[in-house]
Amino acid sequence: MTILRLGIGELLHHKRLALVMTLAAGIPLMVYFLLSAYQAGLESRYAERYEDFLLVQTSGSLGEFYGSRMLASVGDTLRAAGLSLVVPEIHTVVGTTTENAVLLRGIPLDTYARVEEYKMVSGRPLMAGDTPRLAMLGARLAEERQLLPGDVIQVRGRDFQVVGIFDVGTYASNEVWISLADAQALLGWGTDVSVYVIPNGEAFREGDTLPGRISIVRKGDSGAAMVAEWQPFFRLLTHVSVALGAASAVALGSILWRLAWLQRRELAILRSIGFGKRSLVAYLLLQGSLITLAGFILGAVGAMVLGRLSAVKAAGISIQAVFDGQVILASFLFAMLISLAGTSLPAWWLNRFNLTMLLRAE
Amino acid sequence: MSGLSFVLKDMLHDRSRVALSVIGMGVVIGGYFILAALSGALSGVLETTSISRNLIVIQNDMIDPSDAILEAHIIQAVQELMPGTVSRISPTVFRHTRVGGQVVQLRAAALEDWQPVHHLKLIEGAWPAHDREVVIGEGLAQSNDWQVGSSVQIFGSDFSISGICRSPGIAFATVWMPIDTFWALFDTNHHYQGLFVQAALGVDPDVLKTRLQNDPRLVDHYAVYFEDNYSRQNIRGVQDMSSLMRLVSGVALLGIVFGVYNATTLSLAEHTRELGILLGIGFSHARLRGLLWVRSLLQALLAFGVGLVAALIYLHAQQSSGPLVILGVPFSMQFTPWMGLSGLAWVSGLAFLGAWLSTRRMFNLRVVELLR
Repeated sequence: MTILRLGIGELLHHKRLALVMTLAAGIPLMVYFLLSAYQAGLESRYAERYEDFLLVQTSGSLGEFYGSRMLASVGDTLRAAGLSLVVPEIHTVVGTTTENAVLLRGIPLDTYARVEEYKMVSGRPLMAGDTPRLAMLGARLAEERQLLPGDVIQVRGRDFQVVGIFDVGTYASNEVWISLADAQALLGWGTDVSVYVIPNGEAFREGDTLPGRISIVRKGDSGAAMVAEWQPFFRLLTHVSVALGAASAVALGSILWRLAWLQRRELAILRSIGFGKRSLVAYLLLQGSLITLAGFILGAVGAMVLGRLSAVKAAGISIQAVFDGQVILASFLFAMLISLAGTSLPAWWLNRFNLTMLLRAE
Repeated sequence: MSGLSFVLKDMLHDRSRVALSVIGMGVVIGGYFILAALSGALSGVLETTSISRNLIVIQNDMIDPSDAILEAHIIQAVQELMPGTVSRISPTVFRHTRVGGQVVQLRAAALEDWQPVHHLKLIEGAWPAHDREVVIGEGLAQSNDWQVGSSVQIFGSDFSISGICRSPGIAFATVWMPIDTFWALFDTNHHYQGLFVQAALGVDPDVLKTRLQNDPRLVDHYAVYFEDNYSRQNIRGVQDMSSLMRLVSGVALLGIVFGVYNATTLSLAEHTRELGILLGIGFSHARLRGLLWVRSLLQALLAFGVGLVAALIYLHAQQSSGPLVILGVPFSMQFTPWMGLSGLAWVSGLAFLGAWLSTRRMFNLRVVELLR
């Protein structure tokens, strides 16, 4: 306990130095925190893999966002194969600019609820027999546009009355859902659709193909592709944040070493009266941990402020920072790594010296 | 000069501590340069302008051009302006598709339009001469390590890369395909999606744009953009990321202030006796402070050199593996002299700030206390 008190006392004695080191440790931790939060946001919103359903889409497309279009006759082929469920959907992006772009989903009102689990936040869901020009909005979209059930949303210049607001917990919460017939009329697609959702484990498997360059993929494949698109970017930022963390560990090590050197006489006295080498390690570890812990808290606060102020949005697809338990844990482990790396060098160095001999020599 | 040599000797004597400070700050500066290069690449794409001043006519409520339909009477409306006002037109189709696991933009137009209208420049190989041949953009080729003759699968069919091209303006990770090949592949009832329009020599493209926008056949359902403005609008989202990168790189640079502050404060704490002796033999407080500032600046400049070299090596390694491609747009990170100069100014300024903060109480130092 004495040596720990000495460690804390030394930090308090050099409180400005400790504060500045805390800020210096806070920067890489903030960058790492923010980066992990954006990655988590991307993965939690887009990397949803559905085990129960497959998606029939045009080959090479991101059918759950845009870019897939096929004839209704593909649906006949699927039904002819004896599938228990064939759900046609339209997925595209509509709007006049990227700022007002919306992900649009056209859904068959009688079967859509069987392939997508959603929770109504307010209002009611779309139901079979509903009149045209009704829409359900994802919670995030509704919040962004400040719309409530009963309000009107314009989709490609046409008014749709909002009947309900839903939440799925994925990118679908950025979507507007309208009936398949409305979507086909709106886009001028006739009877064409974007994709068919079919059950997994029946007549088709992931990787199968159909005539007309139609592929069968796992539902959620488009989201996974979207996540993969951003990976090189996040990889580069991870390199930078790890390098900044290493720099912080070096700076921490340098400061702890120099502080310990300033305290060498006190430490030598403690060693000469029976304190072991482990005590010296505990002394440094405590100082390093306190500094990094304070840096971690500062970094977390900074990252949360930046994360709230910024969101990346392009053509109806947005990435937001998500600060969940996993992100906090990963960032905390990163902080501990900085602390351990920053402590181990001065600990090794301090234990190399025979402090009592040094004291005698001085 | 004697002051500088004194500082250099002191740094040499303290080399292990100086080395640790320089390494720590060098990594921060290297990180700053990499983030600045990334931010520059993101915002550079948005600022890119092409000399072509091509116009593009497209349905006005389509974010994804592959959903658009270009009606025949629109092509007719523009054709009526040829050859006096419009020199060439090129009806084009677009598809976002995955090639080699990467989202790319597939473009198809008549082969004879590729050079005069789309300004494609062949840098390797040849233009497609056979079925199932395509040309790809250089960024895409580099990032996937594709060569002329490589085989790629597009929409479930195998294609051979006949050439690698460069295009002006905002470059997309693009695969170019002759229009007949596209029709055969996609069977989309021969619907074009956008019309590239080239103004005739001597015609102001702005005037042509206004004229087309006011044409009653286009006015309600079609928009006319300059080609790059249209592309820029579609990748506006990267601006958010660019701003974020700029902010983070700026915050990272604060590490210089902290690094210099810590190094100088510790030096002062470690060398109280030496400082006392120097003050005792006639050095003024101001001179001592000046020496400490020079010491801090030299450390920061050394760190600048280390960071610069580290960043250049990293960026070179990144570039050799091809540009970053996000949502079909290749971003090429480049280090510019301006980045180096502004980085140097920031590092010097922030080092000075750190040194000033740590030495601002130096005038309170008394020889007796220092030597006690």
